[in-house]
Amino acid sequence: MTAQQSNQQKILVVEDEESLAFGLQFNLQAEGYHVVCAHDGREALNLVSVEPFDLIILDIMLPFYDGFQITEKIRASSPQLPILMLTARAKIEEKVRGLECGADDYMIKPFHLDELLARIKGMLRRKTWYQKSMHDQPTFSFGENVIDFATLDCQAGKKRFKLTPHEAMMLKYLIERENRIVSRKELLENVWDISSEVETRTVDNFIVRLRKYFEPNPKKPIYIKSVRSAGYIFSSLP
Amino acid sequence: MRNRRLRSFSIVLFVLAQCAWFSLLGLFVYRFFIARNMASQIEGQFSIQLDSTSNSLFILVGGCILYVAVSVAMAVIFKNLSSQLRLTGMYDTFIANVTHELKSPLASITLYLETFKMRDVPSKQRNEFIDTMLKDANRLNNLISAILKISALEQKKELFEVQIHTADKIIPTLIEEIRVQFKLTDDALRLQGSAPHKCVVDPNALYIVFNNLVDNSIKYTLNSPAININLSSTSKNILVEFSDNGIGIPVKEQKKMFRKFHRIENKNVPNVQGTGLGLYWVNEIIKFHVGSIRVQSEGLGHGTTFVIKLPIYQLSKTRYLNKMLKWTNRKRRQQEKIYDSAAIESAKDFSR
Repeated sequence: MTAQQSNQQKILVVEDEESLAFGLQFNLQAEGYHVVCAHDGREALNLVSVEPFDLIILDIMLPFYDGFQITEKIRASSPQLPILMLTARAKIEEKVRGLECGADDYMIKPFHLDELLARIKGMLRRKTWYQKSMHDQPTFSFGENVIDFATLDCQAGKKRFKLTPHEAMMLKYLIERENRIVSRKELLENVWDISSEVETRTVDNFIVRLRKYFEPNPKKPIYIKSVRSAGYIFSSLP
Repeated sequence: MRNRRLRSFSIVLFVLAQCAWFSLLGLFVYRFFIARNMASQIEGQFSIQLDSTSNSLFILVGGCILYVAVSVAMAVIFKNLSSQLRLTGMYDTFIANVTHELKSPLASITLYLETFKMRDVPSKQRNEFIDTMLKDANRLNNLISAILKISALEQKKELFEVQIHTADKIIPTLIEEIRVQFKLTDDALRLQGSAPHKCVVDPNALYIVFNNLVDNSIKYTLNSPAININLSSTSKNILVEFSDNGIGIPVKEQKKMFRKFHRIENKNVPNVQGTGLGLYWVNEIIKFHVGSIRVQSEGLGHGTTFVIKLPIYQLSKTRYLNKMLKWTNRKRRQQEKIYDSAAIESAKDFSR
């Protein structure tokens, strides 16, 4: 039992609606996760600071600290912890704000249970893959660039900056498949969840951002090249 | 944010318009005196009599009155518009709050129904889930009726049934009902004092008032609540004081508390569910009863006291209260008439 518990992935549910929190807990436990509930912002931050979690399901309207503040605080200390925002606010600006704060995904209440569970599964799968891959190869350098995949700190020449979790994941995915063509669809499926409302254009936008970070001349890329109607290809030696 | 900018913009525009308008008035008066001087000069030079003094004085006074009238009208329109603008801003927060309030129980109910569809839920838990769903459905119902009622109250459609009651009897009865509803102990809800006077009230409406105040006290108290209700009277009014040991209200929020849709946004205040309609409604009901309500709190952490004033029937505003009573009686008679005719109709139907 203990061994099984240590294998279990741990999810923190931050929700002030008790009935909803209870229902989520029941379902997540039935899926085999270990679930901890917090009912307000303070409790959530306390819990995150003392024990490690694999994923957080976060409501936005919460007592003391709202979901955006919590996400920002968590992102400062653990940049890779997957955060799924769950909220009644359906405005597009809210969604954008949530994702900008550092949430990985966003679902609007009322949600469908199967969709929620699928997204959680996808987020956890990506986290496991990223961690394993990070363990095998914690830092990577090409050209003048050095990337630390644990802290997401980067150095490109004299510039120093931090990647977002999605950017890091995408770069990692490309590096792992060095000198091989990776299609947009493949990137969407593995870096994002296919069920997320992300279009292939998002992939292109992320590529543009990575090129801006790492390419000496982003308009004439030498590391991350486009392959017409196929996808992208990464090579560390131009 | 956008709303605030719009408001300050319209204030600036209003002040500028008023300045322009009064400069125009100044020019008008100036021109009048110039013309008069010129007239007197011409009179002096050509020794003729221009009969314009009474006429031009009329134009001056009339013109000034018209200018001021337009300016006052502008001010009134501006005031109405800006209060409308404020209401729109508050309406947005109201929509956001109501959306949250409506969607949360709905999300919970959907979640449980989908759980039933997806899994075999053990019978013990099944009952628990069903209870939770019923509770959420009930919450939805309460919220929806609160929203519907407020719009009815707005149009004075709410059917208040005022009657003469003795404060000493009706208030303890209502408080007792509240105690049962919220399952409060004698220590948590205490009623003291007396007011052996008659008042004209609708017990159902007054129940809503007490219900809202006690509900707020419980929601905004972090420890176990201790609500003291003190009943007393002055020469003209019956006083009901509600004090609690809750978190209190920031001083600058106290004035705005009874506004429609107003919600206190403060990090130290727990984000309690609500629509911002409760206290607005309380205020409207008390105003309907020709009374008043005010709030006292020394700020956060010092508890809150609400003081309700209701006029004593024999002494204050008897005419107005009598009118209310007559209105209630007339309404009742009309209703009885409708029932009677309906009864006759159905009896006819039956005899056929």
